[in-house]
Parts: sequence; C-alpha cells; structure tokens
Amino acid sequence: MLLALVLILVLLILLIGGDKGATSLITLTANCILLSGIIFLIYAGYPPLPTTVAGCIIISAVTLFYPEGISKKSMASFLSVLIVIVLMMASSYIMGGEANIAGFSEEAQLEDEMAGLSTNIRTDMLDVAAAMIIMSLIGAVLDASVSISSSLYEVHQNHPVMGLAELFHSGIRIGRDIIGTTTNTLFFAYLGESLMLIIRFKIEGYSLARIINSKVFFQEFIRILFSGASCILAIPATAYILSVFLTHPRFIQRESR
Amino acid sequence: MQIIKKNLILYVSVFVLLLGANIFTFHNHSFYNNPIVRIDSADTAPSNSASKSSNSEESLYDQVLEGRIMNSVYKGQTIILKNSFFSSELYQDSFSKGDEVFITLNSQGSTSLSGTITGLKRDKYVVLLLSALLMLLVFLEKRKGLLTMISLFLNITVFYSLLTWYQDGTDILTVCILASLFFTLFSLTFLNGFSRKTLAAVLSTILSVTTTMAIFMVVMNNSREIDFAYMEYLIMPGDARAIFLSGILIGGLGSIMDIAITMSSAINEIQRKNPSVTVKALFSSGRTIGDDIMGTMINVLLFTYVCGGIPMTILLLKNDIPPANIISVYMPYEIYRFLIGSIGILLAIPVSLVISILFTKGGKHLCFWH
Repeated sequence: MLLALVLILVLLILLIGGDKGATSLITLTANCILLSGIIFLIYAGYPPLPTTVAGCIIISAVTLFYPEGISKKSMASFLSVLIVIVLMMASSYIMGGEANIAGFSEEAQLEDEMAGLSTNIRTDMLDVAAAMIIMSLIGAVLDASVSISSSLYEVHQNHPVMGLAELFHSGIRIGRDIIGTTTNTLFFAYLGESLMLIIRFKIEGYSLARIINSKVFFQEFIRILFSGASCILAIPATAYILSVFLTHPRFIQRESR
Repeated sequence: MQIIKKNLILYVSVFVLLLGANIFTFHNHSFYNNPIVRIDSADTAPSNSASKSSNSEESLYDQVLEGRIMNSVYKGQTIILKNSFFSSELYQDSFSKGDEVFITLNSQGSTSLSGTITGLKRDKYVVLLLSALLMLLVFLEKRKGLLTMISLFLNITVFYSLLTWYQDGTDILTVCILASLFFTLFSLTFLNGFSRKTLAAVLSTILSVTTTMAIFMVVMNNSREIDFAYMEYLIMPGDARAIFLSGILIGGLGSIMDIAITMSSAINEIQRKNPSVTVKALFSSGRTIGDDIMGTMINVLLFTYVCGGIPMTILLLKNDIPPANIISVYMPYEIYRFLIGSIGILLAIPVSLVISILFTKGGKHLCFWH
C-alpha cells in the first residue's frame, strides 16, 4: 500500500508538473533523505540542536538553490530562512525548557508501543523536542519565503524604478495574501494529525483547564504556533533582504560585472 | 491619517486585551480547585538509591523542592515536595525555582503537609505564545490578521462541539465530512467574502477532496489492511480506521483550500485585467502557477507530518528496532498522511484550474448562477 501510494504520487507529480515536477521530485527525495539522515545522526549520539541547524541549512540550500541556482531571489530566501531558524531555535529551546515539553506525556506513556521499551537512551529529550519544533516549521518557512521572493521579484521586473521602501511595502502586501492561506494550511494539517487526541479529550471528558495545562496539548500547540510565527516572520525578512538586493547600488553593480 | 489612527486603535486595543489575558493567567490560581505550588527553592542531587540506578546507565536525580501553596484552604503554607528524574527527561520532568506545579495533597493527617506533583501549570505559556502570534498577525495583517484568528478559533470550537454527535453514536466519518463542509464554506467565505471567485474555490475544494479520498479508499481496499494498534493516543480501537480516514480528510483540507483560492483568485485577476484573454492563455497561466506552488507545498506537508514522530523514532531506534519496522509497523500513519495530502495537492491543481476557468469564461453556459 505504501508503495502504491508512492507510485501514484510520483506519477501525478510528473503528469501535472512536467519538467518542473521532475525538479520538485528530486528536491523532495533529497529532503526525505536529509530528514532521515538528521534523525539517524541524533540517534547516533550527535548533539540534536547543532545537527538540526546544520541539517536545516542543507535542506534550505537544496530546496532553494537546486531548482533555480544561486540568484538574488534564492539568496534572499536563504538568508531570511536562516535568520528565522536561528530565532526560532533560541525561543523554542527557552520556551520548551520553561514549559517542560521534553519527553513523552502521560497520555503517550500508557500506549502499547511504549511497553517493554528501555528508557535508558541517554539523549536529552528537551534538545530533541526543540529539534522537532524546528524541523516541523522548516517546510512552511521555505514555502512562505519562496512565495514572497518570487512574487516580489516579478513586481520588480515590471516596475524596475521602485525604491527600497516601496518594494518592501509591496512585499508586505503580498505577504498579507499569503499568510492567511498558509495559516489555514498549517491549522488543518495539525488538526487532522491531532484528531485522535482531540477525540480522546472529548471522550475522557477533559476540562479546558486540564487540556491547556497538559503536556500533550502543549507539545502539539507549540509546534503549530512556532510554524505559524515563523511564516509570519519570514515575510518581512525576505521582503527586506530582497528589496536591499534589488535596490542597493553595491548589489546592482555586482550583477552587471 | 484616518487609516493610521484606525490602525493605532486596533493595535492598542489588541495589546491591552492580550496584556490583560496574560496578567490574568499568571495570577489565576484561585480559579483552580487543585492546589498549586510555586517552587521557591529546588535542591537537586544525584540519587543515592543504588537499587534504582544499578540497572541503568543513565543518572537518576532526586529533587527536594520547597514551595508555597498559592490557592485552596492551605494558601500561603509552605510545603516540601519530592521529585526524581532521569537525565534524558524521557518520562519524568525536572523542576526549578519559579515553576508552578499542580499537586495532590497526601491526606495523612500529620502536622506537616506533603503532596505529589501531578503536572506543570502551562496555561500561562499557552496564553503567552498565543498572544505573541496574534500580535505578529495583527502587526503584519492589520484587521485581516484578527479575522484569520477568529476564523480558526470558530472552526475549532464548532468542531469540538460537533464531536458530541460522535459521542452520541454518530459515525465519526459522517461527523468529519459534515465538519469539513462547514470548514470549507465558512473559512473561504469568511476570509474572502461571498463572490463567484469564492464559489469556484468552494466547489474545487469539495471536488478535489472527494477525488483524493476516493483514490485512497480504492488503494486501501485493495491492499493489506493497516494495523492501527500503534496509532498515537488510540482510544476507540474499533473506530481507529474511521478516525484515521477522518484525520486524513481534515488534514488535507487546508492545503486544498489554499490551492483552490489561490488558483481562482489568480484566474479571476487575469481575466479582470484583460477581459479578452483566451481560455488557452488562462490555462497556461494556471499551469505555471500550479507548478510554482506544487513543490514547496508538498514540502510543507512532509515536514509538518513526519517531524511529529521524531521523539518516538529516536526512542525506538535506541531500542534497536530496525528502521524498516519503524516505518511499516510503528509509524506508517504519518507517512500515509503525507502521501495522501500530497496527492490531494496535486489533484487540486488541475481541478481548481478547470473550475475557475469554467466560472470566469463559461459564463454563458453557467448563466443560472446570475
């Protein structure tokens, strides 16, 4: 069944996307391999946070630079994604530590699959939790950033005379259209993923107070919030960096050389 | 000037509201029935209970926590709590000065109070994070940011109430299909207004979701039954299959709506700017848009779905369970979600393109909409 679905997916990508589909397929495969690589390295004992940051940088580089090479567009996206990752890394670690999100909740500990597993794993689960938050948001940040940089670039091509401030504001306006749909996408993806948990809350009659104080809720909640916040932050970051690239004399000269 | 003033009022009122909510959750102890203790000092030392640490390579720590009870009849009294945790904090938490924890009091009628920690008070962090996100949204999006949050909040509230039907015996899939119809109609019209453009998006969403689910059902019925025993937070084992399907349905909804509205806005915009544009030209523009969003959106689903399983995967790997087993036995659900979600995205592109063109160009054939 897994194979059948993979086959359908690959066929559809090639059928609907054509040449660009093939490029997306290669990027996607590379990302799957990189993602498993990161998980494996954490398992092998490499420190989770540095490994994740390094992995995310490589993932961003592959996703941005493979389809269109190093250009002002992809460079601006890359830099802004970097900034967002560093910001989110720091805040997820602090917030995760404050709210004790490490490890497994009581709900998860009672499951069949946990039975008989040794807990002697010598890995700092807070680091793993922070790493998970960062990796969950990388796809969404890349999406938001690419949308902004490619739309803003088109705007610049059509009106090359726009100055820095004008371009930046144009980028923010485009961002407003994107962010509503992106938050929607993320919200429903997480809602679908947590359906079983929500049903559990309902059936076992959890009170609102118990839900919002529980670890299991917070672990899902912090992922949604950080994904959403990082998309929002990526918009001004990308808009500003690309505007500078497109209007600052130093960068314009470099291109004409 | 008018606009700046209006925005300022919006910022200030949102800020004051959020500030109030935060102050409240940081001081709401008296609203809880369970006793809450604020830890004033935490004394952590390696455990010397040899029996526990001998069969383990991880270090066990014991904590002696001194704190003050913040609510209930014992308010103001000091209490000493004990806690122990392993260095990886896999199951047990460590606590530090300033943490607030829920406890249950041990009712042994001795003179000094004693209790067991049941969990951290996290409501203040929930409100803090939510406020931060809302602030960001309102700064960037102004009024629309507020509307987005309201729409999401209403969606989740309606959904939680609809689940009462499931409790009362309605099939979960039926409940979720109804909920999905509501989500689609409500989210799209609430954020985009009621117009032909929105109508096209609603129709495309419903059609794409139905096709995707049909494909999944066909594949599922023609292959080995999935074992749902290892599903996360499994509660109603008999309904696991239906709950899994419902989760996939709702999970794919957001991205499909995203594509449907992007496509129909773009087609509508091109038509508005150049009313004489041909169907063929519209079609090729639509394909370009589709190609552009396809790759990164599939990426979003990949990382969103698969990363949730990271802590579990690491625990399983550490227990020497082979990676192939982890994928096929313990967590195929995340991978199925990702695959179906992506198939949904791909199907939504041509479906919403054709419907959008029908709605803008096929006006003569669709005159009953006027």
